[in-house]
Amino acid sequence: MTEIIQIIYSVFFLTFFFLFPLNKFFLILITNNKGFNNTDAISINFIIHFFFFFLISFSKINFYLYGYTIFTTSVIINIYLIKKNYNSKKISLLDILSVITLFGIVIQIALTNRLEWDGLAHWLYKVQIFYQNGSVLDLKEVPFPSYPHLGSFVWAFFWKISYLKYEYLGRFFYIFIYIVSILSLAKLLKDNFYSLIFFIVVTTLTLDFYLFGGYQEYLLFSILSIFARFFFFF
Amino acid sequence: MLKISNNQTKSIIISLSLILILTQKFNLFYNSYIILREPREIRLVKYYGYCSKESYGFVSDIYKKYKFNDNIRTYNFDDYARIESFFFKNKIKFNEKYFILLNFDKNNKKHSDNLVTEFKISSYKIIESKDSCYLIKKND
Repeated sequence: MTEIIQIIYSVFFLTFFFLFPLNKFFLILITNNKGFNNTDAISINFIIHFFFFFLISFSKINFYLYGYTIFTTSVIINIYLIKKNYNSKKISLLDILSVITLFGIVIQIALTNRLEWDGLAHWLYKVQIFYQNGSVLDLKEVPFPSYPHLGSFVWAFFWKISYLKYEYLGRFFYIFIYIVSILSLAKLLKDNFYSLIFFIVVTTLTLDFYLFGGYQEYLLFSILSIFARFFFFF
Repeated sequence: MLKISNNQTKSIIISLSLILILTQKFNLFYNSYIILREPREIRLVKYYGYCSKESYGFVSDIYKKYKFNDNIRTYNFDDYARIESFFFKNKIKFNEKYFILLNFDKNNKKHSDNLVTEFKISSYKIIESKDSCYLIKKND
C-alpha cells in the first residue's frame, strides 16, 4: 500500500512542482489572453524549471530544500487559486482520460521497474552520480561521459526527493511531461471532440513502454512538442 | 428531480466506455493489485531474472552477502545490458580481483575465450555460483 501511496504522491508532487511559477491565472493576467489553461502553464514551467535544473546541476544545492520549497509554495498558491475559481464543469473528458493514461503508464513502469539497454548501460551511471551527491566532474569516470547529463540530473532529483527512494519514481517526470506535452497540443484544437481524438491518436501512435526504460527520447519529444505549442503563443 | 436528456445520457455512456477501455488497455487495476501484493525486490527479480536475463537477483544477493565496499565488474555473456549500474557507487574504484559472470557457460569455448581476450581473466577461483552465474576471484 505504501508503494501505491508513494506513486500517487509522486504524481501529485510533479503536478504541483510544475505548476510553479506560472499557472493559468498568472498567464491570463500577464498576457491578457483568456485562452490559456494549466497545461500551457505546466509546459512553460517545464522549460523554466529545466533551465534552472541545468544551472543547479553544476552546484551542490540541497535537493530537498530546492524541491520542497517550490512544491510547498506551489501548493499554497494553487490550492488558494483553485478554491477561489473552482468550476467542476471545466473538467473535460480529455482531462480525465489524460489522468488515466498518466496513471496507466506510471503503474506499468512501477510494476516492471525495468530499465532497458541504454538506461542500464549509459544513463543510470549518471543518475547514480547525482543521486549520491556527485558533481558533473564525476561524469568522466562513467561510460559515455560526453552524453548530456540534464535528463539524468532531473531523474536523480525526483528519485532523491521521493520518500521510498525507488529508482523508477525518478523516471515519472518523463511520463508526466510526455502526457502534458500531448495534452498541450491537443488543447490547441478548439473542439473538444477533435482534441480528444488528437490525444488518443497521438498517444496510441507514440506510446512505447520500452522508451520509458531510461531512454531520453521522450524528453526530446516533449520539449519539441512544447516548442511546437509555443508557436501559437505569439 | 434531476433530469438527464438523451444527449447527456449518450455522452455519459461514451465517456464511461472510453474510461473503461483505457483502464482495461493499461491493465490499471490488475497492475495496481500486483504492486500491492508483490514487494519491489520480488518484482525486480521477476523482470530482470535471478540468474537469467540481467540477473538482478544473483548480483543483489552477492552484494548483500559479501558487503563489498567497492564496485564489482559484472560481465553478462548473453545479449543483455550489464546490471552493475544498479549497484554503482560514485567515487569508488572498481575491484580488480572480484568479478561477477552472468549467463556464463564454462563449457562454451567462446565464453572462455572472451573471458581471456576481452576481460583479461585467464585463471580464476569460483567463490560463489548459482546455475550460470558466478562470483569469481582472479588469480594473480
